[in-house]
Amino acid sequence: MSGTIHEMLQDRMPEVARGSADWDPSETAHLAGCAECRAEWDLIRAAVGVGEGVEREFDVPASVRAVSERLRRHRPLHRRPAVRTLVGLAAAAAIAIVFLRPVVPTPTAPAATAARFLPELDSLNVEELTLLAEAIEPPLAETPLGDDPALTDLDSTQLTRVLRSLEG
Amino acid sequence: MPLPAEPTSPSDHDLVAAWRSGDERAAARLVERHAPAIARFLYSSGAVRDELDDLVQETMFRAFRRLDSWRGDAGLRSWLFSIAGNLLKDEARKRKGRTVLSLADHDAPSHTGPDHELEADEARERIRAGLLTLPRLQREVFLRRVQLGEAYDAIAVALGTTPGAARVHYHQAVKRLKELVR
Repeated sequence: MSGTIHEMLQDRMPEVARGSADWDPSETAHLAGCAECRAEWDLIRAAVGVGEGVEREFDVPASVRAVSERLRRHRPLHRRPAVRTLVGLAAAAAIAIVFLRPVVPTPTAPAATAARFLPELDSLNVEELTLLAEAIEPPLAETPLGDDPALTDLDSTQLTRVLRSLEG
Repeated sequence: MPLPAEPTSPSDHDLVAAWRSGDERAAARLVERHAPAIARFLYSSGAVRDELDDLVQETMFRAFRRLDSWRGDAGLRSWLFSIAGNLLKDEARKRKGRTVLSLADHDAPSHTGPDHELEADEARERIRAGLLTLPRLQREVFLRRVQLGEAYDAIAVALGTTPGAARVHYHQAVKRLKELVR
Protein backbone atom coordinates (compact mmCIF):
# COMPACT_ATOMS: atom_id res chain seq x y z
CA MET A 1 0.00 0.00 0.00
CA SER A 2 1.41 3.44 -0.95
CA GLY A 3 1.35 5.82 2.01
CA THR A 4 1.18 8.82 -0.32
CA ILE A 5 -1.83 7.70 -2.35
CA HIS A 6 -3.53 6.47 0.83
CA GLU A 7 -3.27 9.92 2.41
CA MET A 8 -4.22 11.64 -0.82
CA LEU A 9 -7.34 9.53 -1.08
CA GLN A 10 -8.31 10.25 2.51
CA ASP A 11 -7.88 13.98 1.96
CA ARG A 12 -9.94 13.94 -1.24
CA MET A 13 -12.76 11.70 -0.06
CA PRO A 14 -15.00 14.54 1.18
CA GLU A 15 -14.87 16.51 -2.06
CA VAL A 16 -15.38 13.40 -4.23
CA ALA A 17 -18.26 12.26 -1.99
CA ARG A 18 -19.86 15.72 -2.31
CA GLY A 19 -19.55 15.57 -6.10
CA SER A 20 -17.00 18.37 -6.38
CA ALA A 21 -14.31 16.10 -7.83
CA ASP A 22 -13.78 12.63 -9.29
CA TRP A 23 -11.30 9.84 -8.67
CA ASP A 24 -8.54 9.52 -11.20
CA PRO A 25 -7.69 6.05 -12.55
CA SER A 26 -4.87 5.43 -10.04
CA GLU A 27 -7.13 6.34 -7.14
CA THR A 28 -9.92 4.13 -8.47
CA ALA A 29 -7.47 1.24 -8.76
CA HIS A 30 -6.21 1.79 -5.21
CA LEU A 31 -9.74 1.85 -3.81
CA ALA A 32 -10.51 -1.42 -5.54
CA GLY A 33 -7.57 -3.07 -3.82
CA CYS A 34 -7.52 -1.40 -0.39
CA ALA A 35 -10.13 -2.61 2.13
CA GLU A 36 -9.22 0.08 4.66
CA CYS A 37 -9.70 2.88 2.13
CA ARG A 38 -12.96 1.31 0.93
CA ALA A 39 -14.28 1.22 4.50
CA GLU A 40 -13.40 4.87 4.96
CA TRP A 41 -14.88 5.75 1.57
CA ASP A 42 -18.16 4.05 2.55
CA LEU A 43 -18.19 6.02 5.81
CA ILE A 44 -17.54 9.37 4.15
CA ARG A 45 -20.18 8.76 1.45
CA ALA A 46 -22.74 7.98 4.13
CA ALA A 47 -21.63 10.92 6.29
CA VAL A 48 -22.14 13.35 3.41
CA GLY A 49 -25.79 12.26 3.46
CA VAL A 50 -26.38 12.96 7.16
CA GLY A 51 -29.03 15.63 7.52
CA GLU A 52 -29.81 15.92 3.80
CA GLY A 53 -33.51 15.45 4.47
CA VAL A 54 -33.46 18.18 7.09
CA GLU A 55 -31.82 20.57 4.66
CA ARG A 56 -34.19 19.66 1.84
CA GLU A 57 -37.34 20.05 3.95
CA PHE A 58 -36.35 23.11 5.92
CA ASP A 59 -39.06 25.80 5.94
CA VAL A 60 -37.08 28.67 4.47
CA PRO A 61 -39.93 31.21 4.04
CA ALA A 62 -40.93 30.84 7.69
CA SER A 63 -37.35 31.41 8.74
CA VAL A 64 -37.01 34.47 6.53
CA ARG A 65 -40.20 35.95 7.99
CA ALA A 66 -39.19 35.27 11.58
CA VAL A 67 -35.65 36.60 11.24
CA SER A 68 -36.74 39.68 9.27
CA GLU A 69 -39.39 40.54 11.81
CA ARG A 70 -36.99 40.14 14.70
CA LEU A 71 -34.36 42.28 12.98
CA ARG A 72 -36.90 45.00 12.33
CA ARG A 73 -37.89 45.09 15.98
CA HIS A 74 -34.32 45.21 17.19
CA ARG A 75 -32.65 47.31 14.56
CA PRO A 76 -30.52 49.92 16.40
CA LEU A 77 -31.67 53.51 15.79
CA HIS A 78 -28.30 54.55 14.46
CA ARG A 79 -28.61 52.01 11.63
CA ARG A 80 -31.85 53.46 10.28
CA PRO A 81 -30.97 55.43 7.14
CA ALA A 82 -33.36 58.30 7.87
CA VAL A 83 -31.99 58.78 11.37
CA ARG A 84 -28.39 58.62 10.13
CA THR A 85 -29.14 61.40 7.64
CA LEU A 86 -30.82 63.57 10.25
CA VAL A 87 -27.99 63.05 12.75
CA GLY A 88 -25.53 64.11 10.06
CA LEU A 89 -27.55 67.24 9.32
CA ALA A 90 -27.83 68.01 13.02
CA ALA A 91 -24.08 67.72 13.49
CA ALA A 92 -23.48 69.99 10.49
CA ALA A 93 -26.00 72.50 11.83
CA ALA A 94 -24.38 72.47 15.25
CA ILE A 95 -20.96 73.21 13.78
CA ALA A 96 -22.37 75.98 11.62
CA ILE A 97 -24.19 77.60 14.53
CA VAL A 98 -21.23 77.47 16.94
CA PHE A 99 -18.60 78.78 14.57
CA LEU A 100 -20.45 80.99 12.15
CA ARG A 101 -22.96 82.91 14.25
CA PRO A 102 -22.02 86.57 14.75
CA VAL A 103 -20.61 87.81 18.09
CA VAL A 104 -23.46 90.34 18.41
CA PRO A 105 -26.40 88.44 19.79
CA THR A 106 -29.39 88.00 17.56
CA PRO A 107 -32.90 87.36 18.70
CA THR A 108 -32.86 84.00 16.96
CA ALA A 109 -32.86 81.16 19.49
CA PRO A 110 -30.42 78.30 18.83
CA ALA A 111 -33.19 75.80 18.88
CA ALA A 112 -35.17 77.75 16.29
CA THR A 113 -32.03 78.13 14.16
CA ALA A 114 -31.52 74.40 14.32
CA ALA A 115 -35.13 73.90 13.41
CA ARG A 116 -34.63 75.86 10.16
CA PHE A 117 -32.02 73.26 9.14
CA LEU A 118 -34.18 70.35 10.28
CA PRO A 119 -37.74 70.72 9.02
CA GLU A 120 -38.27 66.96 9.49
CA LEU A 121 -38.11 67.16 13.26
CA ASP A 122 -41.88 66.94 13.48
CA SER A 123 -41.81 63.54 11.84
CA LEU A 124 -39.49 61.96 14.43
CA ASN A 125 -40.68 59.93 17.38
CA VAL A 126 -39.45 60.42 20.96
CA GLU A 127 -36.62 57.87 20.69
CA GLU A 128 -35.35 59.39 17.46
CA LEU A 129 -35.49 62.93 18.87
CA THR A 130 -33.51 61.76 21.90
CA LEU A 131 -30.82 60.29 19.68
CA LEU A 132 -30.73 63.51 17.69
CA ALA A 133 -30.36 65.62 20.81
CA GLU A 134 -27.46 63.48 21.98
CA ALA A 135 -25.72 64.05 18.66
CA ILE A 136 -25.94 67.83 19.01
CA GLU A 137 -22.86 69.33 20.60
CA PRO A 138 -23.23 70.66 24.15
CA PRO A 139 -22.64 74.31 23.21
CA LEU A 140 -25.88 74.22 21.21
CA ALA A 141 -27.87 72.10 23.59
CA GLU A 142 -26.83 73.81 26.80
CA THR A 143 -26.12 77.45 25.97
CA PRO A 144 -28.96 79.51 27.42
CA LEU A 145 -30.66 82.04 25.20
CA GLY A 146 -28.95 85.34 25.13
CA ASP A 147 -25.53 84.17 26.44
CA ASP A 148 -22.61 85.03 24.29
CA PRO A 149 -19.20 83.56 24.71
CA ALA A 150 -16.63 86.20 25.65
CA LEU A 151 -13.92 86.66 23.06
CA THR A 152 -11.43 85.38 25.64
CA ASP A 153 -13.39 82.08 25.70
CA LEU A 154 -12.84 81.43 22.00
CA ASP A 155 -9.89 79.46 20.69
CA SER A 156 -7.74 80.66 17.76
CA THR A 157 -9.84 78.89 15.12
CA GLN A 158 -13.03 80.42 16.43
CA LEU A 159 -11.41 83.85 16.68
CA THR A 160 -10.28 83.59 13.07
CA ARG A 161 -13.83 82.83 11.98
CA VAL A 162 -15.16 85.78 13.98
CA LEU A 163 -12.63 88.07 12.36
CA ARG A 164 -13.55 86.83 8.89
CA SER A 165 -17.23 87.37 9.55
CA LEU A 166 -16.55 90.92 10.70
CA GLU A 167 -14.18 91.72 7.91
CA GLY A 168 -16.31 90.14 5.22
CA MET B 1 -29.79 34.21 -31.19
CA PRO B 2 -27.58 34.03 -28.13
CA LEU B 3 -29.34 33.53 -24.87
CA PRO B 4 -29.24 36.47 -22.50
CA ALA B 5 -26.65 36.03 -19.82
CA GLU B 6 -28.11 34.72 -16.58
CA PRO B 7 -27.97 37.32 -13.87
CA THR B 8 -25.34 36.35 -11.36
CA SER B 9 -26.46 36.14 -7.75
CA PRO B 10 -24.93 38.73 -5.48
CA SER B 11 -22.09 37.37 -3.40
CA ASP B 12 -22.28 37.10 0.35
CA HIS B 13 -19.99 40.14 0.55
CA ASP B 14 -22.39 42.13 -1.62
CA LEU B 15 -25.41 41.12 0.43
CA VAL B 16 -23.66 41.93 3.70
CA ALA B 17 -22.65 45.33 2.34
CA ALA B 18 -26.24 45.94 1.26
CA TRP B 19 -27.51 44.97 4.71
CA ARG B 20 -25.01 47.32 6.36
CA SER B 21 -26.37 50.09 4.16
CA GLY B 22 -29.89 49.43 5.36
CA ASP B 23 -31.25 47.02 2.72
CA GLU B 24 -33.56 44.66 4.62
CA ARG B 25 -34.07 42.48 1.54
CA ALA B 26 -30.40 41.56 1.71
CA ALA B 27 -31.02 39.96 5.09
CA ALA B 28 -33.83 37.87 3.64
CA ARG B 29 -31.60 36.65 0.83
CA LEU B 30 -28.85 35.69 3.25
CA VAL B 31 -31.31 33.69 5.33
CA GLU B 32 -32.63 31.93 2.21
CA ARG B 33 -29.12 31.08 1.14
CA HIS B 34 -27.70 29.75 4.40
CA ALA B 35 -30.51 28.68 6.74
CA PRO B 36 -31.00 25.15 5.31
CA ALA B 37 -27.30 24.33 5.58
CA ILE B 38 -27.21 25.67 9.14
CA ALA B 39 -30.18 23.48 10.00
CA ARG B 40 -28.37 20.47 8.60
CA PHE B 41 -25.19 21.31 10.51
CA LEU B 42 -27.12 21.75 13.77
CA TYR B 43 -29.01 18.51 13.25
CA SER B 44 -25.81 16.64 12.47
CA SER B 45 -24.30 18.13 15.63
CA GLY B 46 -27.09 16.74 17.77
CA ALA B 47 -29.83 19.36 17.77
CA VAL B 48 -33.35 18.03 18.23
CA ARG B 49 -35.34 18.26 15.02
CA ASP B 50 -38.24 20.13 16.61
CA GLU B 51 -35.92 22.86 17.79
CA LEU B 52 -34.14 23.46 14.50
CA ASP B 53 -36.34 26.35 13.39
CA ASP B 54 -35.69 28.27 16.60
CA LEU B 55 -31.98 27.47 16.60
CA VAL B 56 -31.51 28.54 13.00
CA GLN B 57 -33.42 31.78 13.57
CA GLU B 58 -31.36 32.54 16.67
CA THR B 59 -28.16 31.78 14.77
CA MET B 60 -29.07 34.16 11.96
CA PHE B 61 -30.25 36.85 14.39
CA ARG B 62 -27.01 36.67 16.35
CA ALA B 63 -25.07 36.80 13.10
CA PHE B 64 -26.82 39.96 11.91
CA ARG B 65 -26.25 41.64 15.24
CA ARG B 66 -22.53 40.87 14.99
CA LEU B 67 -22.03 41.31 11.27
CA ASP B 68 -19.56 44.12 11.91
CA SER B 69 -17.20 41.52 13.35
CA TRP B 70 -17.23 39.39 10.19
CA ARG B 71 -14.00 40.37 8.52
CA GLY B 72 -14.75 38.54 5.30
CA ASP B 73 -11.56 36.52 5.30
CA ALA B 74 -13.45 33.37 6.28
CA GLY B 75 -16.49 32.37 4.24
CA LEU B 76 -19.78 33.63 5.63
CA ARG B 77 -21.19 30.12 5.93
CA SER B 78 -18.15 29.02 7.89
CA TRP B 79 -18.65 31.98 10.25
CA LEU B 80 -22.34 31.11 10.58
CA PHE B 81 -21.42 27.51 11.44
CA SER B 82 -19.23 28.86 14.25
CA ILE B 83 -22.13 30.88 15.65
CA ALA B 84 -24.43 27.86 15.35
CA GLY B 85 -21.90 25.61 17.08
CA ASN B 86 -21.52 28.05 19.97
CA LEU B 87 -25.29 28.39 20.25
CA LEU B 88 -25.67 24.64 20.48
CA LYS B 89 -22.99 24.54 23.14
CA ASP B 90 -24.87 27.20 25.13
CA GLU B 91 -28.09 25.21 24.80
CA ALA B 92 -26.40 22.00 25.90
CA ARG B 93 -24.99 23.78 28.93
CA LYS B 94 -28.48 24.98 29.86
CA ARG B 95 -29.77 21.42 29.63
CA LYS B 96 -27.00 19.84 31.64
CA GLY B 97 -27.71 16.18 32.11
CA ARG B 98 -30.74 16.12 29.81
CA THR B 99 -30.53 14.18 26.59
CA VAL B 100 -30.17 16.30 23.50
CA LEU B 101 -30.73 13.58 20.94
CA SER B 102 -34.04 11.79 21.00
CA LEU B 103 -33.96 8.15 19.95
CA ALA B 104 -37.07 8.80 17.88
CA ASP B 105 -35.58 11.86 16.27
CA HIS B 106 -34.16 10.85 12.94
CA ASP B 107 -33.81 12.19 9.50
CA ALA B 108 -35.09 9.31 7.43
CA PRO B 109 -38.77 9.44 6.57
CA SER B 110 -40.53 6.14 6.97
CA HIS B 111 -40.82 4.53 3.60
CA THR B 112 -41.07 1.18 1.94
CA GLY B 113 -38.38 1.82 -0.65
CA PRO B 114 -35.69 -0.55 -1.78
CA ASP B 115 -33.60 -2.26 0.86
CA HIS B 116 -30.42 -0.47 -0.17
CA GLU B 117 -32.06 2.90 0.53
CA LEU B 118 -33.13 1.64 3.94
CA GLU B 119 -29.60 0.47 4.63
CA ALA B 120 -28.24 3.86 3.55
CA ASP B 121 -30.68 5.64 5.88
CA GLU B 122 -29.69 3.38 8.76
CA ALA B 123 -26.02 3.98 8.06
CA ARG B 124 -26.57 7.74 8.17
CA GLU B 125 -28.40 7.46 11.47
CA ARG B 126 -25.61 5.36 12.96
CA ILE B 127 -23.10 7.94 11.83
CA ARG B 128 -25.16 10.75 13.33
CA ALA B 129 -25.36 8.86 16.62
CA GLY B 130 -21.62 8.29 16.42
CA LEU B 131 -20.96 11.97 15.77
CA LEU B 132 -22.65 12.81 19.05
CA THR B 133 -20.15 10.68 20.95
CA LEU B 134 -17.19 12.62 19.55
CA PRO B 135 -15.56 15.53 21.35
CA ARG B 136 -16.97 18.78 20.01
CA LEU B 137 -13.80 19.82 18.18
CA GLN B 138 -13.48 16.48 16.37
CA ARG B 139 -17.14 16.57 15.40
CA GLU B 140 -16.97 20.13 14.07
CA VAL B 141 -13.80 19.49 12.11
CA PHE B 142 -15.36 16.37 10.60
CA LEU B 143 -18.62 18.12 9.68
CA ARG B 144 -16.82 21.12 8.22
CA ARG B 145 -14.73 18.83 6.02
CA VAL B 146 -17.59 16.64 4.95
CA GLN B 147 -20.60 18.99 4.82
CA LEU B 148 -18.97 22.30 4.04
CA GLY B 149 -15.97 21.00 2.11
CA GLU B 150 -13.70 23.33 4.04
CA ALA B 151 -9.95 23.01 3.71
CA TYR B 152 -7.91 22.44 6.85
CA ASP B 153 -6.52 26.01 6.72
CA ALA B 154 -10.01 27.51 6.84
CA ILE B 155 -11.15 25.07 9.52
CA ALA B 156 -8.15 26.03 11.62
CA VAL B 157 -9.03 29.72 11.41
CA ALA B 158 -12.69 29.08 12.18
CA LEU B 159 -12.03 26.89 15.20
CA GLY B 160 -8.93 28.60 16.56
CA THR B 161 -6.54 25.74 15.93
CA THR B 162 -3.79 24.91 13.44
CA PRO B 163 -4.19 23.16 10.07
CA GLY B 164 -2.08 20.25 11.30
CA ALA B 165 -4.21 19.84 14.42
CA ALA B 166 -7.38 20.08 12.32
CA ARG B 167 -6.10 17.25 10.11
CA VAL B 168 -5.40 15.13 13.20
CA HIS B 169 -8.87 15.83 14.62
CA TYR B 170 -10.42 14.82 11.30
CA HIS B 171 -8.60 11.51 11.15
CA GLN B 172 -9.36 10.79 14.80
CA ALA B 173 -13.03 11.37 14.05
CA VAL B 174 -12.90 9.09 11.01
CA LYS B 175 -11.19 6.34 12.96
CA ARG B 176 -13.69 6.55 15.81
CA LEU B 177 -16.70 6.61 13.49
CA LYS B 178 -15.40 3.60 11.54
CA GLU B 179 -15.30 1.63 14.81
CA LEU B 180 -18.78 2.75 15.83
CA VAL B 181 -20.58 2.07 12.59
CA ARG B 182 -18.86 -1.23 11.72
